Amino acid sequence: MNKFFILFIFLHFGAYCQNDGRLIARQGKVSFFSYTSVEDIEATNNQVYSIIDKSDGTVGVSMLMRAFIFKKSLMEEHFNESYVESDIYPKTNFSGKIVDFTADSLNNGVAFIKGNMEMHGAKKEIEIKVRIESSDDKLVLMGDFEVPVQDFNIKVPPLLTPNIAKVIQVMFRFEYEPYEE
Amino acid sequence: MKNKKSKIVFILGFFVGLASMKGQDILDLLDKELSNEKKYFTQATFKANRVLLGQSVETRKKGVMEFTFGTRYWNIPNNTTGQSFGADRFSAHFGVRYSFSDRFTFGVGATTLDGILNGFAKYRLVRQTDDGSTPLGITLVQGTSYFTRDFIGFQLPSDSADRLSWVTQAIFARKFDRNLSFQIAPTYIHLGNENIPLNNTDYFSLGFGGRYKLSNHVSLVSEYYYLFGREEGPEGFNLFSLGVNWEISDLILQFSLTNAKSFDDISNYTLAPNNFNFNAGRLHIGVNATYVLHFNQKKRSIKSVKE
Repeated sequence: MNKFFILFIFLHFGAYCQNDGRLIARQGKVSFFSYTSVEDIEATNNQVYSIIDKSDGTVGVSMLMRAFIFKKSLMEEHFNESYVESDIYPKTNFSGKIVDFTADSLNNGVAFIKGNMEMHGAKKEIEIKVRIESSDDKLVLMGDFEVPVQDFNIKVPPLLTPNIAKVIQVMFRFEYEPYEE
Repeated sequence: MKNKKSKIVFILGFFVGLASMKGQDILDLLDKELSNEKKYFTQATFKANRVLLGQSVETRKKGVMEFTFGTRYWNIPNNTTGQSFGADRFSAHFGVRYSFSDRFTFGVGATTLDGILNGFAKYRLVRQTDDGSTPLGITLVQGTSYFTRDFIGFQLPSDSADRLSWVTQAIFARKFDRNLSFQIAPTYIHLGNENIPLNNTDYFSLGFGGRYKLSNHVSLVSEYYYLFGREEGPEGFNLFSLGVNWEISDLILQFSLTNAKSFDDISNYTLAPNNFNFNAGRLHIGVNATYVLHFNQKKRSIKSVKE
């Protein structure tokens, strides 16, 4: 009987502790840039959600494609309707883990995160270098990476191929705070 | 004794399970957070201010100016006067529209064939939302047309006050899924004067418009306006149009097959249309090119991560 109680207490604490290490960013920023000789396109989403688990280094990011703001409103409509088709694929998700995670990983200033990005119905494994600024209860992750348009089955009509870069640059910045439901 | 033991195990197990639920997958938690995000208005019910000839439920976003250059070509029976642009007859329209806000748009235009100057104001009263909480969009349109000269079947009134005509519409539209949109437009038309062949000045009309998306950049559109209180045939025919919208970045090309010669609402709904068939003088082929200019790009954008 006693053994049961010990097991129970362990399991119980284990389950609660998982939650303790979690940090959330509710106003994370993601921008993307497409530079060509014809046209420069950039858009920013400042309602990106991200959760990081300090205990095991898992990271998740999720955003609505409709929340990207473009300088040109028509471009925003085309982006949603004709390119990323946000009516069918409203979200872009990333879930991954800090590579070689140790307790010190978040204090080192730089880390690599490896995981899967899911956008426009396609899933691709990517590895991203992130810069980390951490203080007592705050954590900031930022960095940039590149996304080939073709990898995510986004079709560009032949007439507009000169307007849209083959590789899109993405930049992000997340400021985390302790997670509370 | 055994029974009691299993009971305790069950209860303890239940509590452990309850606690573990808090540690659910990170993406599930993010999903829950995202579901609190604001609701978005349905976009692209139609692709331009006009379905083809008649008004659509759609307007542009704030700070957008739209230039339209429309052309229409047709042949006439027993033509003896020569051709221009490869057809017996040619008509063109130039229009400018500006959106003062996401809801309010104002536009003016002029047509070569009938010399009608037109202006309209559009207000989006209700906008459909993606989550279905508002199932349809409603747009109010007030248009006015000023007749400047005689044209086929129309004699210009001598008193200038009689040259003004009005059209009032309430457009109800719904985007059913990503491909199919439909609108119904009860329309009230007041003509400035009685004109042959019509023998009344006030008419009620019901317009139907639809869009079907063929691919990401091309859609099929069609319209029909039924005019109540006239004898179809001797007093003219109801407006019908069939066409394709093709979007290329900031440019929209609207190709149309129609029975109307004009670009003006009043003229299209009441005066000009013929019976729709493929005989000379009945079928009009047109292209409208609409170019979109954005005037509030700096104001609109938010700071990127870079800045």
